[in-house]
Amino acid sequence: MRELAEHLMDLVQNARRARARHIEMSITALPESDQLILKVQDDGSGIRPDLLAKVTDPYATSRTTRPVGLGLPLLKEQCEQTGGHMKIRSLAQMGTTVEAVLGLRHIDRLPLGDIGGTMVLLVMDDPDQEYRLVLKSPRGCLDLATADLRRQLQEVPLHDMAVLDWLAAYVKEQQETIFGGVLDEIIS
Amino acid sequence: MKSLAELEAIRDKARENLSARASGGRKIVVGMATCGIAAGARPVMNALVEELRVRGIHDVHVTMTGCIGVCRLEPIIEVIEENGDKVTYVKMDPLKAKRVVAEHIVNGRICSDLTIGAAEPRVKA
Repeated sequence: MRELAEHLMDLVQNARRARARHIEMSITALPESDQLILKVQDDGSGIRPDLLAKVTDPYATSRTTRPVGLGLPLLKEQCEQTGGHMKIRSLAQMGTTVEAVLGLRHIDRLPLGDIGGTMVLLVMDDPDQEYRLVLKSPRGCLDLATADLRRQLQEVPLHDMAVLDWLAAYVKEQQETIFGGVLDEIIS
Repeated sequence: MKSLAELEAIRDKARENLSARASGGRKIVVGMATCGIAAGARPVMNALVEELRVRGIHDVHVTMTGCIGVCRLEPIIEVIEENGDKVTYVKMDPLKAKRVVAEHIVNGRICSDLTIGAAEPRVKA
């Protein structure tokens, strides 16, 4: 993975595979405690307790194409490489929450990357899926829910090209405003 | 600054075009499992969408799928024709993705140097 946005995409793909109705993504920068927290919460099918115990083992996976899954192990490695940790909570039929805590200023922390581009692809691929994206730092906060967009758009679908363009530009701008100067890679 | 209020104008404009939107047959499928994502499938898919938009092509549907099964050749995209014919392109990047739109989608010429057959002649797609 080259960006945290790609880890985010990977976590959301897990949530979609768990048939989640609502998927909440949040990215929180806490410069005072030098932490960057990436969290994805879903209301999907959850992870079986026996799999949950070993979910960061690359040879534990619920995929059926082959018995190897690298998504969570790679994210865990990125967390630990930057002095952080990863927590997973999951309950059958209630959903799963993955929280990745990274060292905000650690030299090995991946750049945040293109959150807007990730959102656009997710919305385009399944315009009926409910998402909420929260970006937060001492400089500001974005709380964007697809349900709100849908209310505003009425019968116009979320995956209309003009809407997706707006979404990409809006998230990019918010990302720069909220994380500019807070994350080293985003200039204020 | 972009704002939610702008969506109203976008909505009104989009309404006029709602009926004009063709429901086409061709599809481009992008492998978006961990293997694809780690190899750069996300920017590849954004490039496909952008190139189709710039060229005003509305009848090609871009979607994601899970692991296609040949992780070492990711990012992988499949162009699926209306009749079910499929071309698998491997080791994509945003520039190659734009080339596939220009040559394959627009001009109907398969980019044979980018296909799975060119990358690994013995692997059956």
